[in-house]
Order: sequence, then structure tokens, then C-alpha cells
Amino acid sequence: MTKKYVMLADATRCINCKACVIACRAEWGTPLGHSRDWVREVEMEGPGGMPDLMLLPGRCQHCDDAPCVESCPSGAAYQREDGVVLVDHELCSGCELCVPACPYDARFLNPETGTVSKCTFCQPRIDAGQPPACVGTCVGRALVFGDANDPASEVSRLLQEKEWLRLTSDGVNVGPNHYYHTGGRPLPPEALPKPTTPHVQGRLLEEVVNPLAGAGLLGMAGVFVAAGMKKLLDRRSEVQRQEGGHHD
Amino acid sequence: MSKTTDPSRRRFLGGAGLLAVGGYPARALARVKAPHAAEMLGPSREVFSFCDMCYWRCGLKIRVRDGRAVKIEGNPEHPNNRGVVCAKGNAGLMAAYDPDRLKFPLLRMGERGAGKWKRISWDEAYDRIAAAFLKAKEQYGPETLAMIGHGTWEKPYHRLAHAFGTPNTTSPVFGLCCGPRDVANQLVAGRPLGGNETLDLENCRYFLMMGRNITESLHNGETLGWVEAVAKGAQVVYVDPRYTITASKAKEWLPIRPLTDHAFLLALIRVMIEERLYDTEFVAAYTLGLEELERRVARYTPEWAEEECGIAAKDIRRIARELAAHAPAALVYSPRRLTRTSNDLGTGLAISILNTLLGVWDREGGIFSPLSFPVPEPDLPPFPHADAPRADGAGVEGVWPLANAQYGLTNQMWSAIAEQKPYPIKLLLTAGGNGFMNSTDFDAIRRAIGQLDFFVAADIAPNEMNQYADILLPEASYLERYDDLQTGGAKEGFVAVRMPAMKPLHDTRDAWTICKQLAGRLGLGAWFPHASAAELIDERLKKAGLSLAELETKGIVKKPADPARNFPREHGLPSVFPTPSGKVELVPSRLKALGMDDALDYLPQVRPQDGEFHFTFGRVGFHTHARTQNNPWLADLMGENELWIHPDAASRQGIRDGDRVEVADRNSRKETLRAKVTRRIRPDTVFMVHGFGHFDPRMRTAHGKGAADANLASRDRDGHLGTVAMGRSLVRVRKL
Amino acid sequence: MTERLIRVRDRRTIALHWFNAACWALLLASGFGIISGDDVRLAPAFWPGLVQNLAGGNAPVVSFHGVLGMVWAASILAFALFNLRRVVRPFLAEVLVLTPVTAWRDLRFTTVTLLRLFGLAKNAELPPQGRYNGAQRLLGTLIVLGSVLIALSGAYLFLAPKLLPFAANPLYGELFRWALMVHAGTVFAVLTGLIPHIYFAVVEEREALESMKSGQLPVDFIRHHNPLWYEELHRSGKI
Repeated sequence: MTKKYVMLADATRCINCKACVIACRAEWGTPLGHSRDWVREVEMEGPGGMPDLMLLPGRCQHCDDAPCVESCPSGAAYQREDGVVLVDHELCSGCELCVPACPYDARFLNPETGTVSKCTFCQPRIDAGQPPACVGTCVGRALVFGDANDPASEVSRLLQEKEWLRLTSDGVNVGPNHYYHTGGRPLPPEALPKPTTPHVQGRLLEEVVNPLAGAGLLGMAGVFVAAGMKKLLDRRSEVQRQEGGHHD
Repeated sequence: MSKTTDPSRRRFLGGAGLLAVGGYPARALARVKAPHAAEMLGPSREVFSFCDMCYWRCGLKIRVRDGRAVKIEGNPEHPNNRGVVCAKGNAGLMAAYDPDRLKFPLLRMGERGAGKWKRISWDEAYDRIAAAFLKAKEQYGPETLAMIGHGTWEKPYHRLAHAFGTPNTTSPVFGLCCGPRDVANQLVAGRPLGGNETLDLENCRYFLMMGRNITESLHNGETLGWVEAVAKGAQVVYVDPRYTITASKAKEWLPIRPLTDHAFLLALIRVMIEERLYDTEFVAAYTLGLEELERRVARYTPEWAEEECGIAAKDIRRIARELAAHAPAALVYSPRRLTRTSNDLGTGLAISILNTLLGVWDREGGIFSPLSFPVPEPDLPPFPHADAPRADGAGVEGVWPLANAQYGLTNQMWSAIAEQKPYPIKLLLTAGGNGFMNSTDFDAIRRAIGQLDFFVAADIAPNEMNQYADILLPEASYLERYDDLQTGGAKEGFVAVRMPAMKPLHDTRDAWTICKQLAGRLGLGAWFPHASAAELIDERLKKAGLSLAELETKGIVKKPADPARNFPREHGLPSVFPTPSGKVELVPSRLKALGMDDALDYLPQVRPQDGEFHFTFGRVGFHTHARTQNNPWLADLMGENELWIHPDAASRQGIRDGDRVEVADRNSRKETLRAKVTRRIRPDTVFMVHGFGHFDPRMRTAHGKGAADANLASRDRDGHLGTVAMGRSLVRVRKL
Repeated sequence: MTERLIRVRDRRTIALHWFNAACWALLLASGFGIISGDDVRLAPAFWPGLVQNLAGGNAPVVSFHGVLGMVWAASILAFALFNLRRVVRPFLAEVLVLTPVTAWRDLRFTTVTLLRLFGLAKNAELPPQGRYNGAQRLLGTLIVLGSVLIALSGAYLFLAPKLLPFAANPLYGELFRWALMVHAGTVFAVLTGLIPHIYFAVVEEREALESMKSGQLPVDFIRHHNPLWYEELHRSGKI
């Protein structure tokens, strides 16, 4: 059976120690100023005006309907059968069309490679049966990773046992495979994804150039198919007329 | 321009509109499936080690590729971390690859601290050091040498100093950190609990956290155990003037008035005795002094405590009852650095007494008895007897008899050097550490250094203190060397090894090599008989029936946890309390003998006058004290500290979030930094993260970033221990 | 009646046309095979899927497309340089639609021609045409200018990621995205124009297709379709 990899983040266990962030930097050599993962600390007002905090570790959400894959011209952004969204660095030109397509801001142009980087769920590690670097190092064991299609996996068990939320909003739901447990509290609005603003060229291609070209090509082809048909019909009636003439 | 992304939209309007209309299969339109290249990780091998980024020392597996350490992982077998590694531990790679690292031996050329250096050979460095040391020893006696260590592997330096004949070795762990906590437990129960506290966290059901910010002043195994307990539903009452991440995990945050924890604890003791909430069986069988304690705490009513500490009397009563209801799976959790007030010993005693009244000793969810893994030390000649008493007075009758003589009182040592009292100290050898940033008295440090004939600093990276050295010795980092064994006492006993992941970078040498070579020059070679640290630990291991070769394949060898020995009272076995009476002493006999039992009584602390604030400082989970601010990876997470100030207080001064402010104490010591206006702190208190404000220009990342809390923290002392009362500073804040 | 033929183009020009056509076919096939993301793709996914799987990934397709594109552009450029005076200048002078007046005239011609395919606008007056009629001139202009744009944008798309540090200056990526849009948009425009080009060659005017093989065209065909050219040929004594 095909695997279905998911990441679970238990916000009640996260302590924002950033071990995941540094482990990821070390594993992937991410240049300073960028990171493939993060911990979001949202300060809120709790009951009675008391302070309250929510800690949300995050990374690429490896969405079922990953907008980055759809916006990538070269196919450098791709998704494996098991759901892991990856970058093919041989193909990536660094055009960044995918960067604003991501509602989670999970992609960035890596100045050292000139290509777009993002979380890979530590694909070489998981294929070798190890946890992703962030999961392996997580001090509060807030991160759990595994195959949701395997009923015996820890993630399957936890998905059953606890209540899980995903970072989706009315405007944005692209099927993220990153789940959050908040101990029953609602996710703060500032943590939810906002509709994205893609690059103007990407939008023009999608909304103007391609539809126009599709219509133009179809229209033009239609015109000349019709012209050809008419010519065929004309010729047939001409022949009939001539044959009829003979009869006369 | 914005668009909403809806999967269904794509299915129907997918770019190829021209064919989708014709009923072209939607799935085929949606995705191109093709072969792809993926990012890979190169092949690597693993060596075992234990961490040196803080003092908890977690077990590690270090991945090595092409002769370089490339990734640090946790060793799941190690009880100190069970496989997890914090941000500091992960960033340990940058301790080795730090571009600002000390790279070769340096000789001071200009004035001390002027930053003019000349590269010299190791031989020249040793010759110069030996000449200066022998000359001063001749003139002033061996006690003229002070050795101040900190954190990097300081054991060989202690050995070198003791072989030299001085009693004056110290590191900040006692006088600037955990001293009062350990002494209190030692006095009450004869069990100091140690640096890796022996608390059965996973099974505890109720935590009263006395400013123990366990999620940010974090040690992997300890934090993980606590998180596990909380995830299993343990209740947390968090007592701290500041709302930390730990507070966010608590059922209840009690923003106590700074420096008044003792008042709150005394009232808890009183309620517990008055309402007979304590473990009567345990108290009857194992303790002495309940009646006297009851008399002594009679005046500390919850109402009195409410006045003093700001926590409501009814809450104090309720918490006492809740604690008792959960006992013995309940803990009053001591802060780690208990150097805050002029009576920290009293606070420590109160915590130890409360835990005793709850009967948590040797009970599940309470305090356990650790197992040890004894590995004999090598046979060395006895150290020469030091005639002089310790200059810092630690363990010296009539001075600071209760202070630990192994680690000493580092601040008192600096003062002793500054004053040249009780005798001249003319030589200083430091092994790691940063006197400026870890003590609270820049003045004393500068004056002390000015008194020295010769100052040798061994370290891995530059800092404010070692920039004053006469000779600077560059050490190999913990990723580049063998070290002496780590033997530990947790529920499991264990011995762990540190193996080098790579050869020392630059012209650096490991501490054991440095000390051995220096000892040779000083005629002390007999105390360093091993050719290397590897040979030393192999000899030790063989005495314990193991070998280095064996340990190198496993990283750690353990004696399995034994519930009957960890929790004897759960198994019908007696607890052992090695006090003078053999019982838990609720009023410690040693204190009475010393006439210091007034530590049990409340000593009122300073209060801010109009416009003043209590000054507090503390940690974040991704910096270690004052020594990681220049680590590029950790600086990327937090490059400078901020002054936390409550919005009400900020608005009175016209301070807005992000404004630059000046903080000044009553002695006109000043620091500037940005303000963080937040409800997460009491209005009468300000806070900053410890360790910033570096002024050594060699630290190119950290230099000039943020403010040095060490330059504002109080220089007062605990009256019984000589430890530093850092929390007694009162400051004013001014918008710049 | 024996057809009188006249040579209207030489072998090299014919070879260039078919070379150009072959390149276009391959570049279109590979180009449509490269663009993968659903939001930016026009072809249905089966095509890039097929092409990329046949090639063992998109990287070889990209390389093929880029290298062939550069060969194509370089060949045409070389031809243009070597035959500038003899072929290219006269061709451009005949073909390029450069003023609004000519554009309007050619557009009207094109429209009427199209309508007549469906038996409409039979009575509309059409001015006599030269060597290239209005529709051919419009298409020719589209192809000439389009090819320049396609070649330039294509060169940037292929070479810039290999040569320029995109992270150092956001302009590089900005330009890449514009180039991508221009490249695709221009190809689509030219491709749209190629539909009538092929229709007329294959269905309506087989003589024209023949001439692109033999180089010869019946004089009657010229007199009928291109009277101005016929007059010119006549004047210059070529007929």
C-alpha cells in the first residue's frame, strides 16, 4: 500500500526551544537568514486578561494539492506518491514562481544553490527508516512523523487518540499533511494561512496568456476545420451538380 | 492581487481548458508524473560523544563525513537526553567551525586587554608560562596560583593546579549558580541531589515550580521528563514574576513579587503543619525537629505571606492542600540558579523541608536514589598539601564554612585577587569561562587582573575575560578530542565516552595534552603519567572491567535501573539519609552548630522605590549562559536581548515596544537595549535574557549586541554561604 | 494546356524553410513537454508526462529544447547574415507590416479572404496583391518578430539560471518570469498563425506547397493570386 506521510505537532508539548530549526540547518546546510522550518510563538490574551502563548512548529505542509507544484514551470517542484513534496534541483531555475504560491511561506531561494529550498521531510532519512532531523531532535517530543496509511504507526494511533487541527482557512485549503494538537484551544487567526499573492507573470500566464492561447488555438483550428468541411461539401455538391448536368 | 486556492477549481479549470471540456480525465490533467532527482545526504560514519554546550552533558552520536563533523544526533541510550538534542547541542558544530575561534597560541603585545597579539609556538608559550609560574611560586608560594575553570573540560586544569600545590581552584557552578540548592538538600537530608537532579519527573502529578523555567533554562532529559508528566496530566503551578514558556504550560501562573519566594514557602510549611497535611508516617519515622520547625514558622501565616509576596492567602492554603493531595507524586521544584537573595539558603531549606513533609524521598513521582557506575580513578601521587586556606574562604571555618570547597566561591576568589587578601595571588590560570559575564562585578574583575603578574587563559573562543590574558592557549573543541569519562548517576548508572569526530582544527590542542605538556615544564609530570586522554580512560575502564575499544562501539555502558534501589520505600526497604543524625533534619544540626539556623527565618529583601524596578534576568532555550551569543547559528535565533517591561510601566515612561532604553542601577552601572513591552511580566519588574552585551571586538557576531545583565545584577552576598545575591538590584529605566 | 513554371526561390531558402519547420515541430513538442505545473501549463498533462518519461526526466528535455533552440536561432541568424542582401532584405521589405495603413489594408484583406472561405463577402473589392498577400504579410511579420522574441527570451530562460546568481538580485528572477511569459505567449501567437498557414498550403493552394519543394510556381498561379508581383516579373523580363 502506498505510504501517506504526515507530520504531527503537539503544541501542548512544544517549548519553542528551536532544536528542530538548528537540527534542520545542520542537516541541510541551510544558509543563515533562511530556514526550512520554524516555531511560531503567538502571544494571546487568555482568560482574565492573563497572557497566553501558543507554540506552533511549522515547515512545508506537504499538501495534497500543493500549489507550489502547480505553479512550477519546469516540474522542479514535484510530489512523490507518498505525498512528500520535493524540489528537483537539477530542474529548478530559481524563478521563484512557487515561492509566493505557498500559503505557508515554506519556500525560499537558496543563495548558495540558486535554487528553491524547502523542507523535504528529510526524504533520504525517512527512506532509510530514520525520523526527519527535526523529529529526532525534538526536546519535548512534540513532533511525530510517520505513515498515516499504516494503522500500526504512532501517527495513526495519535490521530485517533487526540483532536487534530490543520492550518486551513475559509480561503485556503490545499490539503496540508501537517497536523496540530492544541489541547482543545482554537488555532489563533494569525497562524492560519492567508490567500496568496502570486507573481504577476504567473498570474498573467494562468489567467490571460494560457486562456487566450487556448481560445485562439481552438478558435483558429475551428475556423479552418469548418472551412475545410465547407470546401468538402461544396466540392461534393459541385460533383453532384455536374453529375446532375450529365443526366440532363 | 490575491487569489484563493481551492482544489476543486483546478480539477475543472485546469490550465488545459481546451481539452478538459472534452471530458479528458481530470487526474491526468492535474499532475505530470515523471522521474526526478532528489536531494541526498552523503555517506557518513558515527562516533560517540557527550555534549559540552552546557553542563547537563547529553549523549551524542556525531556524524562524520570526509573527516569533518557534519551533524550532531542524540544517543537514545543516554539517560541524560534519551536521544533528543536541543538547539545549543545541535549548534555545537559551530563551536568548532566558529570563524572567530582561537586558532593558535598568542602572546600579548600591548597593554592588557588592548587586543594586540603575536602568534607564538606552543613551546614558547609553555616556556614563558613555566618561567612565570615558577618565579611566582618561588616568591609567594604555590597558593599564589588561582585556577578558575568553567565548563569546557576543566578536570586536567584542576589536577594541574592541585599538583602545583594551590588550594585555589574554583568554577562558578557553586557560588554563582546551584550552591544554595545543593547545600540546603545536604543539610536537611544529606543528599545534595546534584547537578542532574534526581527527580522522578515522568511520574510526578503535581509540580510547584519555584521560578524553575524548565522549558527555557532547559536540559534535555529533565525537560523531556517534565513535558511527559505534563502531557500525562500533571498539574503545574508556576511561580515567577515573568510569564515564561513554562508558565504557558501551567494550570496557574503566580506572578510573585521578586525575592519573596521564601515567604511563600514558609507559609506553605506553616499551613502544611497546621492542617496536618504532611506525610505523618514518613515524618515520624525519618525526621527530626518538627516541633521546633512548627514554632519557627508559626508567625508566617498565609496572610503575612500575602502581604510580603503578593500571592493570596487562600491560594497559599489551597496549594498546600493540593500538594498534599498529590503527595508523594508531588514536587516543590527548586530553581537551578538559586543565587538571588541574601538568604537563598533559607529558600533552599524551605524547598527541601516541604519536599520532606510531602514524603517524596525515594517515592515514585518524587525524589529517587540514583545508581552509580563506579570507574576507579588512575593511581596518581598524592597532591602536595596546601598549607594556605582557600583564598575565597570556601569551606574555611570562620569564613564561609558551608561553601563547597571543590568548586569554591568564584566571586569571592575574584575579590580576593582584587584585594590581594588574605594573601597575594599573582598567577591566574583560566580554563574556559568568562569572569565578566558570569559574575556580577566588572570592577572587581578588572582590578583583579590588574594585580596579576601573569594570566594564562585556555579557551576555544575569544571573550571579554581572555582578552586580558598574557598568553592565550587555543583549545580543541569537544568535537576534536578525547576526554575523561562521563560517569553518571540517574535511575541507571552509566559511563559514557567522548570520542573525537575529527582532528583538532587550526593549531589547537586538547586540554589533557596542554596540561600534561605544561606539567612537564613545571616538573609536575608525575601527575600526568598518561600519554593521552585516550590512554587515561582506557586505563580507568580496564580497572572497571571494560575497555576503551568496547566503549567506542557503544558510546555508553549502563547499569540498568533498579526500582528497588531507586525507590526503596516503594518496595518496603528503608531510605538512607546521611546526615549527622541519620534522619532528615527539619532544623539542620550543622546549621545550629554553626549558629546559622537563622537561615530558616525570613529575611526581608529590597523593594523598589518610586520609579524603580526589580531587575531580573534569565535564559532562553537556545543560548547557553554568556557563551553562545557569538555562535552564528544561535545568534540567528536571537542576536540581542530586550528589556521586558509591563505596558503600564512602559506607558508611564513613554516607552513603546522597540524603543531603545537605558537601564541603570543604584550604583550608576548602565546598559542600553531595546524594550519589549509585554504583559508577560509584573509591572514592578524588568527582565532581560542573560549573556548579551559582549564588548570583546573579536566576537564579531555578538559584539555590541544587546545589554549585559552581569553589569546590572547585584553584587550582594548570601549571608550564610557567600554565594551571590544577584537579584537584589533595583534599576531605573529611561527612554533614549 | 502546359503549365508555364517559374523559379521563385532557391534551394537554400527551401532548405531553410523546412529546417525551420522541423525545428518548430521539435521545439513545440519538447517545449510543451517541459512546462509541467498545472497553473502555467497549456498542454494536457499526458503530453509532458509522456515526453518526460520517454526522456527519463525533464532535465534532458530541457537540455534538448535549449540546445536545439540555440541551434535553430543560430542557424537562422547565420543564414540571414550570409544572405542578407540577396534574400533577407527583399523578403523583409516585402513582408514586414510596419505602418498602420498597411496593417489595416492587410487586415481587411485577411478578413475578406477568410469570409470568402465560407462563401461570404463575395462582392467585396480586394486590391491586387504583390508577392505576399495581406494575410501572408501579417503572418510573416508575426513570425519574424515572434522568432526574435522567442529566441531572446528562450536564450535567457535557458542560460540565465546557469550563469546568473538569482538570489543576488531579484531582477534576474523577475526577468526570467517575464521571459517565460513572453516565450510562451509568443509561441502561442505564432502557433495560432501557423494553422491557416498550413491549411492554405495543404488544402487551398497546393501549388504553394509544391513551390516550397521545387522552388517553382506556375505563372498562371502568380497572375491570378499575385498580380502586382506578376507585373513586376513581367516588367523585369523574368516572364
